[in-house]
Amino acid sequence: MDDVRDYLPLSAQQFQILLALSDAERHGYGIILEIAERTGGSMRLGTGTLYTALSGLVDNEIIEDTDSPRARRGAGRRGPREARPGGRGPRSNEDDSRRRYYRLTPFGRAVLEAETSRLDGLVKQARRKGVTPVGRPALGTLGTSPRTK
Amino acid sequence: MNAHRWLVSSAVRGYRSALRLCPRPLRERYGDDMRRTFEDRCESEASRGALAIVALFTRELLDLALTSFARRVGADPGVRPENRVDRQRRHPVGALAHDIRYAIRMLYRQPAFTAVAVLTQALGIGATTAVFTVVDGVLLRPLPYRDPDAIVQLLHSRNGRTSMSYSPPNYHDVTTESGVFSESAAISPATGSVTGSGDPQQIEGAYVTTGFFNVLGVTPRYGRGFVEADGVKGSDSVVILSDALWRRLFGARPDVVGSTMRMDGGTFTIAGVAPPEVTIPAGAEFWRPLVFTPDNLSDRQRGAQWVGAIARLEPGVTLDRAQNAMATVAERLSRDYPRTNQGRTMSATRLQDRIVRGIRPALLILLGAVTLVLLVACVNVANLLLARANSRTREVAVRAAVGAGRGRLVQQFLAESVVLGLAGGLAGLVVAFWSTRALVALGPASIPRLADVGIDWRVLAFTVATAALTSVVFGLVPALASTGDTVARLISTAGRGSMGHGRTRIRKTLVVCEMALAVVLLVGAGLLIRSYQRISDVNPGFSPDHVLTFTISLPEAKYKTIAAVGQFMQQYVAQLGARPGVDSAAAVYGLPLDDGFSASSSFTRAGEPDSADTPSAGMRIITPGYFKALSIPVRAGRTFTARDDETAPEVVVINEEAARRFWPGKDPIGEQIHLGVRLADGVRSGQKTIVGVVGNVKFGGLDVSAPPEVYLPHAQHPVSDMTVVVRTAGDPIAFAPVARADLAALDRERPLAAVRTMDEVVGRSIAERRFTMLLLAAFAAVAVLLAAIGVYGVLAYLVSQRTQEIGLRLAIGAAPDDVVRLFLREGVTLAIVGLAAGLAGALVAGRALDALLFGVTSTDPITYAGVAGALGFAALAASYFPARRAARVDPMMALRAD
Repeated sequence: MDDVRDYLPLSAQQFQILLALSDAERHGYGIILEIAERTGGSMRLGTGTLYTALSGLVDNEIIEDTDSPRARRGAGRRGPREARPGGRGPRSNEDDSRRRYYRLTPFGRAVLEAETSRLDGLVKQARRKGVTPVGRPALGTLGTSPRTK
Repeated sequence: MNAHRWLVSSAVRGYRSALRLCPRPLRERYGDDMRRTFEDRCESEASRGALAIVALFTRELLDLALTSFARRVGADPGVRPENRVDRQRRHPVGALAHDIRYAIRMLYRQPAFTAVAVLTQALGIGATTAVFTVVDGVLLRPLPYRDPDAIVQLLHSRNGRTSMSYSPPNYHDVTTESGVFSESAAISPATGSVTGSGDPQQIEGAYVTTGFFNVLGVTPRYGRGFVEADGVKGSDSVVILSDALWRRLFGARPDVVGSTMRMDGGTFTIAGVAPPEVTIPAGAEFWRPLVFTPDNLSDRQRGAQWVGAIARLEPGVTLDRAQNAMATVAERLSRDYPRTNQGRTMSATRLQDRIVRGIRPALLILLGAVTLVLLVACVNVANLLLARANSRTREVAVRAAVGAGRGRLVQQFLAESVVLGLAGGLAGLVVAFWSTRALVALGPASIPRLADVGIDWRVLAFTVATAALTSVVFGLVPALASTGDTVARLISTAGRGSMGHGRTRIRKTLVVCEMALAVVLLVGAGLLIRSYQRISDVNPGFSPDHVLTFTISLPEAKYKTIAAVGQFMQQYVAQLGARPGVDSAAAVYGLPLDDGFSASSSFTRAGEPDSADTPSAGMRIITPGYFKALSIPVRAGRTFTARDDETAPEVVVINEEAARRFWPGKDPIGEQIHLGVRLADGVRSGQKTIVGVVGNVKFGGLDVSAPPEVYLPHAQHPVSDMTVVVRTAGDPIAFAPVARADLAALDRERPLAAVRTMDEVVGRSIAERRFTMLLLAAFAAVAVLLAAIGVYGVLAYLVSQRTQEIGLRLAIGAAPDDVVRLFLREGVTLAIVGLAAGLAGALVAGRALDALLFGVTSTDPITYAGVAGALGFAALAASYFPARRAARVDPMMALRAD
């Protein structure tokens, strides 16, 4: 298996996608919504960007795509659908069952954890130098350009 | 809500088509998901309105394009560097990015080849785009008025002469009786001097009847157009300003409507400001109502042609039907008023055709010429690419030997062509931009609509596509040909660095084509240069050097009687003539070679019945010193003196052409004529005695034969718009301030307008010709240069290919001179074939130039000989350098190589 460090640092988009998948399997739109909600709308992934990033992450076995959980385990499983805030009306089962869902691989979780501790280390170093965050920096820029007072 | 549904479904359809941008692997794997995700987003945005959907769609498209592009060039965010190489081997898309990078490196490493190819394409693309942009802007783009095809200019002709002027009663009858016009307007040019703040200014404008703006279908930008009430004597002191005048005099203040302005000593209420596109008549900056008096419209005035007429066709009426209806009215008029209307036909032409008719042939010729330049450029690039393909057979062989498939090899060549085409297109854009600006700046002011010409993006796209296609085709053909062989054959031929004689023949043919095209252009340019020379040598009949001219206009409001006008003019001219450094000064109504002026009058000879074919001659009104000021020779009799005033018997002077035509074989001195002149206070139509004959003067242009002319003394016919001519001892333009000061001393409110030297007036009359000639000469020069490069390229290649043969010849005793001669002969043979083809082509194409030629025929032998000599010399020079290189081949080195 590859060394997780080969994949660091992750781009802001990659990090956000992995974070979105850290607690649940989601389909593409679910990922976009989760990130938008979590970042307060400051990061909105374009569909093209998202799938390009997903395909790269899949190729490197950081995440894997699966058939819809519904198709695998039959109807009734709740999960990603609930993660959709303000979901408008139920969609047809058929439609959802053809969607591809994504989940972290164990290796992907290791990459995410490694990146998190890398970022954590950076923030600690900044704090030690007396740099403190101003207001609430956008998550998308975390670790790359912490603003100074 | 339904609208939103529709919007969402269209957006989804649009996105699905846009997905084709995606690299295929991504599309195949995730295309459905991406579409569904987009649909979800759309639906959640739908509640926020149509704008939100559109914004989302735009954002997503941009995102798609950017990520697809990034992925194709191998910079996508999801792939680590070490995996990229693998992907490129597996996916041709990654390989394309690799090929493009490689192509850029290759082109960068051969700066000479790249520079020549890119520059050649840039010249072809840029020049073609620039010229087509001008042609499109001037000739093709519709006039900026409502339904411009329905706007017509009314014309009439008599005795084979076509004119734009109508007499008011004829204008009135043809527009009302024909029933084919929904609106019409009569136009009469005017000048006005605006006073108020600062120096008085003379501005051009027009009197127009109240339907004028309706004919054009424009509404003023501020205020109103003319209404019926403005067309009544007494309430006609309103004016509509042009956009330019409004900006210049009133600083573009929107509240100018309703205020007044002083012009020609009167006060006018500003009724409106016209939009900037209203430029009729050319150069007009204000419009005032034209009011016909009952006398103007009386039948006695049918012969006085002094208003232009435009009209708008009724909806559904064709130009043909309008012509027929006008012809019917004209027939009726010629029956009822035979004296003035017999033989007078009336017709209409699209206003746009009328405006551009003068410049049309020249522009079309330039368009044809520049297309030839583009062709030459394309041929040249094709030739360069063929040469390059030849020199790379070894590289191809090596790549094939280590396992590159044919598709892979072709893709490599293709990438280079595309990169080259793009670079050429980009450079062409720069050239197009600058040359369009240059054309607009250098083009003579007489070309209509030139000022609002801008780069035409469609044309640019077309020319770039043409150039790119050329480079792709000519990059691809050799690629296919040189990769079609088996690896073994590739390797066996690669050592010799040649791909056989077929390719050489193609290259020679291309060079011959280039030469032929260059010859056609060169002949065209040569003919125009000779025409220009001829026309510059034409004797205008007067001597233009050391003459200052300017115009003065005396407004009716201040100079109420024609006696006052006459007195002012005589006093001013006399004052100028007495200044030191002034040889003579005079004033004239009807300056020769002054653009756009025409005044002619028909007259009857004594004892002759008043019939339809009475003689007609150009009418000039002059003060006594005029012939002296312009050095026009007096052939017989006398000229006017100060004694020829309003109390003396009326006299005229005619020119030789009038004498020859109307009094053949007789001495015209002492003959009497009957000639009416329309003046401010009515028509003066007394009996006039011919007292002198003067030399002919070119009037309508140096290329037009001098018309018959009748000169009348200003003292007997005081008109208020005059051009002053002053012959000075020194620099004429230096006298202008003195003339201005003298004028101000007499009347502070009169401006000096159109200050020019007579040399300038003459130069301006042939400016269009000069412009066409210079452009065509520039195109020909480019074509010859490219053709020479072509010859050089082919010969240099032949030399490099035959190094061994040359070495052998030298080794067995050939003199270096023999080798030089051998290759010169190759070059000269190409030149001769190209010349022969080109001269034949020029004989055919030259006929298109006939309309622009003066004093030479399109088969002018001197031009053809000159072209043959020039091109032969260029070909010889281009062949000499490679030939000399051949002679310096070291026999031992050549024989040992390979």
